[in-house]
Amino acid sequence: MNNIDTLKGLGSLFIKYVIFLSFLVGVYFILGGSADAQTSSDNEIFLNQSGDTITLNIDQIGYGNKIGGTVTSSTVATDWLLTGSSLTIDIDQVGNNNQILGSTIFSSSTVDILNTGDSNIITWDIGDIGSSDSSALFLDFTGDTNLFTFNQGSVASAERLDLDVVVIGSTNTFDFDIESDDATVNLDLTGDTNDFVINQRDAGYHSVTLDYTGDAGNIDINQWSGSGLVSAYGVINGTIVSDNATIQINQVDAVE
Amino acid sequence: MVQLFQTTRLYKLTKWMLWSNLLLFVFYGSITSYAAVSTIGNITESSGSNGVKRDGGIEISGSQDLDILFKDTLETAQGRMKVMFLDETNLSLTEHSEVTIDEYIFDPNPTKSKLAMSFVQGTARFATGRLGLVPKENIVINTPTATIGVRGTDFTTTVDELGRSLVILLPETECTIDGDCSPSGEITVTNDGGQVVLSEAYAATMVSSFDNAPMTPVVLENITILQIDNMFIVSPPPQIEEQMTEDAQQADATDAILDFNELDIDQLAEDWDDEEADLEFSELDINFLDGDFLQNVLTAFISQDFLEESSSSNEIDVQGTSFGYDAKTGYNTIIDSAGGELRFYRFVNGVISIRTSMTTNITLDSENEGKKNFITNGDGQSVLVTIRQGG
Repeated sequence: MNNIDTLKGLGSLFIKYVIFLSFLVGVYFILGGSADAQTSSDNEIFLNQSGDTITLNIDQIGYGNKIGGTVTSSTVATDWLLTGSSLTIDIDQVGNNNQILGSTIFSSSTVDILNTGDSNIITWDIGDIGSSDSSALFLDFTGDTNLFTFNQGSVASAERLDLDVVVIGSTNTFDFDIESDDATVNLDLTGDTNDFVINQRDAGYHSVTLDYTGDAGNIDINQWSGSGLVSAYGVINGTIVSDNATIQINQVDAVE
Repeated sequence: MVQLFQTTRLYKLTKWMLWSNLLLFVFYGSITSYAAVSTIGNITESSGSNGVKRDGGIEISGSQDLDILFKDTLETAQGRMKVMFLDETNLSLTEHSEVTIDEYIFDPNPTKSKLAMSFVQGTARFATGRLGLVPKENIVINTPTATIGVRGTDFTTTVDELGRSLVILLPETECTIDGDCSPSGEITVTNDGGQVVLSEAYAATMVSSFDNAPMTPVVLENITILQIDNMFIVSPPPQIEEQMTEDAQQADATDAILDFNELDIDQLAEDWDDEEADLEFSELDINFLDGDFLQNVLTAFISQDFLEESSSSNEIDVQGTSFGYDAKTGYNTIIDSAGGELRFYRFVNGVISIRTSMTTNITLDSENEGKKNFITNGDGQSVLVTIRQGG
């Protein structure tokens, strides 16, 4: 009898032990799960920087990362604010569903952006709230279904832009709106079903050099004198390797 | 005994010095020859797509600190590079540029140092080293249409696809607002047609061919060094365009005087009744398009070279414009058989240049100030390019 009671006691203890272990395992998975969720959540870099000669290097590797101002909702960041002259900016984003959203004022600066991945969004206003002259942008994109929008000098002066863009990918949408004098744009595009719009407005010398390799692309290049006060002078050089591309070129002195 | 000892020591010392001198001579010679065939500089700045072509074709991607060797060809696509040579001479290339190092000898004896390079295409900035270790008279810069003699330190050269060269002497330092703008020295631009000297900051000359004299120098105003790139030759500053037109008109006038022969006058053909009409000629009748020097240069090149190529090609079926320069459409249609490319080039109300494969079925739907052109190659169904130009 004593033995039976002893066995019962041991069985009860064993069951309690198993229940306790299950509890521990549950706690572990709950904590581990939340830790994993935290690991896979967005990496967010918020910038509000002013001052000259800053060197800014950012490498973001992963999914759903953001570089911008603040995040007002779970997925959309506001613009960052970056001001100064003689800045050196180098941003590498590797992954999908990343964002760079910025409002920038810089003069005599050099910007390198490397973006590798799909479904990324870059929206950048340069010189919208202050002059941003004599800067060089080197943009290197590899991926599909990305959305890139650049506004150069929409409000303030942003003259003498040197913009080099290399794109390898398909079904991307690019919109470059440059409202400033003397912008030199070099586009090297490889991929299918991409949609590119390049607008160069305002007086001065406009230049677009396009190397396009791909099918079913839709490319619009517009060079306008913008204000209409002074005639602009436009140069467009295009090298096209395609079986099915539609290219629209407007080169007129007109207010658009 | 002492004398014999001293004589022996003297003999050994002399022998030692002779051997030392011989070794030094051999070492010196090896150093000199090593410098002539080995590294002559390195890339100090590199951005975007650029590279070095070596040993007749091996292409090496450009990167910072890459060694540059004798006979290397420096190339940029969508990128830039800066090279510093052993004598601290700097060479900077902007996008789509090409420079070949023809000769570089860096010798401890400055009179034996030499530097020769060819600017093939694009925009390059050349600044001699601060140490001045290579005498300027031993520096030769060639372009397709001119030779540049360096008696200055800092200048840019822009060469376009037709070989035309734009040379600009740069200031010692960037010009200040109060007008301090000292030149970096003096350079000569020479070809078979003549020679000009650039001696002021931002003095510029354009050379269109090796036979035609360089343009009379003009000083460019309101520009900075950063503005100088390949576009400068495609769409030159107004001062250059005006000077080119003036030079061309003077050349035409000179030719007309030289070619005039009274015996050529056909008095019977003269319509004396129209004398009154001739007197009505006014400034409004001047056709300034006749003075479009750049257009004439293009036409001349096309008529000399490309027409012959196009007539021998069987792969091209261009409709709507003629090969070479077509006055009706305003397009220059050029065939690059070697590259397998077909190019449409128009220089009216801006520059449009479309380059594609010779076999591409392309349509150019072009309208310039209401004047429409419809140009096709093949069935024109693959690529549609719509062009709208206007003043």
